[in-house]
Amino acid sequence: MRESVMREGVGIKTVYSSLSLYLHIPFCRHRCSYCDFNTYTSLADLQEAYAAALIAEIGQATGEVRRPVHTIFFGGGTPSLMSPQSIAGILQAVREGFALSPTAEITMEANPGTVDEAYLTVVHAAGVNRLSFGVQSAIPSELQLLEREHDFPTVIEAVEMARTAGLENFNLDLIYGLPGQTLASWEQSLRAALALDPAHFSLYCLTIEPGTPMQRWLENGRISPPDPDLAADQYDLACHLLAEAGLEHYEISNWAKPGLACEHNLTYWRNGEYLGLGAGAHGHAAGIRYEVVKQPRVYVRRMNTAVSPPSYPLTTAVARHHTLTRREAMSDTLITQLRLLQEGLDTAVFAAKFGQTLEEAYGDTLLQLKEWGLLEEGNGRLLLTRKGWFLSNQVFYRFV
Amino acid sequence: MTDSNIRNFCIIAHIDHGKSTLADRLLQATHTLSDREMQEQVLDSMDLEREKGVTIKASAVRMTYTAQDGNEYVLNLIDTPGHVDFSYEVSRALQACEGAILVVDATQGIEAQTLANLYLAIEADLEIIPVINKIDLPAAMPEDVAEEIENITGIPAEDAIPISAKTGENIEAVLEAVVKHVPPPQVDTEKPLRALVFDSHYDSYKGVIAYVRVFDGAIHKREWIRMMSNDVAVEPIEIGVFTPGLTPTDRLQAGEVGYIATGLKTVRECRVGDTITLRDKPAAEPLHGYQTVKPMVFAGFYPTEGEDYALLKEALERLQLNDAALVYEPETSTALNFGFRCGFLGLFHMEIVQERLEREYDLDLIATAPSVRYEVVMAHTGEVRVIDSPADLPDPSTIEEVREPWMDVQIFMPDEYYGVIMDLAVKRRGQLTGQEYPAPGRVVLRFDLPLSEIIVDFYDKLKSGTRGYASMDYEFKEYRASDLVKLDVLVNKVPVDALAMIVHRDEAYHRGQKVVSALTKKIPRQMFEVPIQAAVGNKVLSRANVKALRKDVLAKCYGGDVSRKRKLLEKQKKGKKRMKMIGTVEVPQEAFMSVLRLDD
Ligand SMILES: Nc1nc2c(ncn2[C@@H]2O[C@H](COP(=O)(O)OP(=O)(O)OP(=O)(O)O)[C@@H](O)[C@H]2O)c(=O)[nH]1
Ligand code: SF4
Ligand SMILES: [Mg+2]
Repeated sequence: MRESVMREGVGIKTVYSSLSLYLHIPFCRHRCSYCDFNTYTSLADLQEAYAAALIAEIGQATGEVRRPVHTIFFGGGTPSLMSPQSIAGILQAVREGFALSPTAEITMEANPGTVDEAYLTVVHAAGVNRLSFGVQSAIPSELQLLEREHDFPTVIEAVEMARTAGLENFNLDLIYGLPGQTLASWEQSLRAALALDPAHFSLYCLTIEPGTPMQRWLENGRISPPDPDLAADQYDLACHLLAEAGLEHYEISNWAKPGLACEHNLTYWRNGEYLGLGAGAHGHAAGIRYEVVKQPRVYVRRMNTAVSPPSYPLTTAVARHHTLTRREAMSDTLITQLRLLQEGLDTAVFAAKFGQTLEEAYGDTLLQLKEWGLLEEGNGRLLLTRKGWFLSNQVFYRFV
Repeated sequence: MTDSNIRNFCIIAHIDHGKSTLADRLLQATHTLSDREMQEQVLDSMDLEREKGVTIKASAVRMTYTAQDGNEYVLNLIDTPGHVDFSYEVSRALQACEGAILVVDATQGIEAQTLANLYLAIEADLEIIPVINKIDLPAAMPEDVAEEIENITGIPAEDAIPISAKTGENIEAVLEAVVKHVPPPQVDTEKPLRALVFDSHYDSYKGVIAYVRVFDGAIHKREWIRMMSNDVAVEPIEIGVFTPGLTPTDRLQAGEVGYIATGLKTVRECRVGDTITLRDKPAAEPLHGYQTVKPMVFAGFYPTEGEDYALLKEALERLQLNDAALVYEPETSTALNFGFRCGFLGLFHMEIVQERLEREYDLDLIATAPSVRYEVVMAHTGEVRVIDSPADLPDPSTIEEVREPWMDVQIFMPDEYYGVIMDLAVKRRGQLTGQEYPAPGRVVLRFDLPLSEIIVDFYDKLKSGTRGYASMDYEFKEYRASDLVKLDVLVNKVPVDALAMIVHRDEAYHRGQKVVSALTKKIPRQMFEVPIQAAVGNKVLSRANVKALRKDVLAKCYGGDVSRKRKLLEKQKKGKKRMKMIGTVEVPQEAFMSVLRLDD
């Protein structure tokens, strides 16, 4: 689905590779106990101003040409808290500033319990054609521990409503490695989720982040630390169950029905170009990685202050940016592409892009990792082995 | 001839009985320091001393005092440390004095170092002035303590001066007693100069500053001097006295205590214990120097950052100048790379040296487990080898016997703790050699104990078992053959030299288990299973496995935030860099430390 357009100039032809857009919506109704995302529970009054600011930023990010875009991802936070009018307005702005492909994948993260059929119908009409539901677990006690606001029946309802609204292509997020979670309870969640026949699964292992309530509970002994070996067993079980159900394990944490891998995520994993728009969003384009200011109020203020925008891909809301060195670009390529379990890294493309083969760049490290059985090479591709799926950090940190 | 206006004296006592606080009061009473310059235990000038509230180094100060007889006297005071590890500081100070104030805490009575230091003073032929301190405290029992002093030392109870160094009560009486009872030094200022170097420190501008007691003759500023042991001659940059800061003077003469800033750059050129004379009018014979102190406890010091080796070397050189009891030589370890094998007077000394190195030279060090010095008698040849590192113990089949140092230990305590102390000593292979009841309710037990048992937290056990009431003194007695074995620690079948220890055969199993369980917890899981073993020779006494790592995956890549992932990976990588490789196993610094810090 990758596209490009040619701009005809006077004897100049420039090829623009197609972009992905990440749009951050930093609002939630309640903060989950494990969450350290850039999201806020007391800024409901800011939503409209925020949508306007986002539209302004889209306008700035466009640059001097209408670049092609093939995926959009509304992430959060809880994007489904935004009014359908705001969503439609934002998509309209994208269409004006970019050449949005008619077949573009447009995903919206949604929390079960925040959406109804009418809402979904309207956003679908506005262009959203894929949903991602934060399910996390089917076990009431686990949902309580996570301080999620929904229960599993709400998930079932949400999925039904999505289907009725014509949104067949959806993802379910689940979490394993939870304190108190067992192999059996995990299997129960997996099977319950499989019964909903989603097109896509994202399974995440819990990391207990500093500053979250969960970390405090860990410190004061209210919960005990998750057992990493159990998490490995849970992951292993998921690999089997989802394969049986006919899902392809295309990325370390992601499974999809054939042909329904998330195009937007693939941009990240192929180390491709994406613009990050909205408070705290991250982008990668034109050899630059950047980060937008985190605070939604600051973000809105920045977008409301008239200053001439910096050059593409930056906007006046960007807080930090960094031009990648060749070495960083090389290791970024490795640590992203190796996450694609089937596709891996094309060694010839790597050599052509960086003027140096993998062996020349990482000879001894590669040998060691192959010896430990974490990496393998075949058909011109470098791939994680099955053992490597479990131990990918051990591979990646050796490349940074 | 006598210089009848000079009095040289030191303050000695058991640890914490109030020597430095008494020195404060004396400095105030003689107006040596103004109230503005005064602070608590002002002579404890090292950061470490102030922080720990303990005197580590003796320090000298000169005061002038107008006595009740109307004459003005020059009083040279030396405050000394009370801890057993630093008793050599006391003996050196004693040689520069004619008298000693013996301080006894009115709430504690006589303790182990009270006696040990008293005997040193008597041996050095000093006039003793007993002082009973802390009489301001409700628990003070000055009469009982005076009687105890009479019982043990023979000094009449009525001669002991009751004071409070805290409130300043009766301080004048101490000064009067010093003037009256301490004899003036016997001196001859016409003889060729002989000055004993009793301490030194290094100053980057003035070089080695020698602290001296002048016994004969006199020195004027700019007069060339000569070190008698090595004939090094030099023109001093400055001479002076302690007030307590360095105050230059034009002349130092027999009977006085002061300093000579030599400008010399190395220890070897100006040793503690050497005699300084004049180049142009040399003395025939040096003074009786000091017996070199023998280190008893040994450990390897390694910089955690390999690049710091050179800095550590320089730091040890400099520190040795200020701490003559410290010895060191280069050592290499496969686990810890390059470092130094250092010898200390005891565990407290070791701790102080490590802290001074880390603090004053900004080093970060790993110390290996402390060891004593063993004598190994080889089979067939009968040759005796001296080793102070477990790694050097030869193959057991080539050894006839191994001997270890035994100490003569005295423990003072209230008699209710008799049973506790007996238990502790017997568990540590102690043999009771005597017991005395010096005063009602007080008992002194005497044991022979292996030093290796004393250096494994014996003192802490002693203190905790007696609520702090027991005190201990010890000195070397003899080497005795023991059933000793080398306990090796193997990580993935590779012995880790830095963790090897020599232990009594009966203890090997117990120690082995502890080490293995501590290491197993601290070594992070690797790409393969890692066995951890403790073994004596080929016999494995304890074993546990660090399971292979199964899962190490970063969570959700949130909204394309690759930089955050990168940062986490970089952090992980940095952590690995600080690890030491044992064979193919990455072992964090922390793992070594946890084992080295193990106690019972
Ligand atoms: N109440 C009371 N406390 C005192 C008196 N003299 C000293 N102290 C306290 O006893 C403690 C030890 O005093 P120091 O003067 O440091 O004792 P020291 O003998 O120099 O100790 P070391 O040098 O470590 O051997 C300190 O907390 C002092 O404040 C006194 O007369 N009365
Ligand atoms: S819904 Fe998602 S973003 Fe919001 S608080 Fe919960 S975990 Fe965080
Ligand atoms: Mg003191």
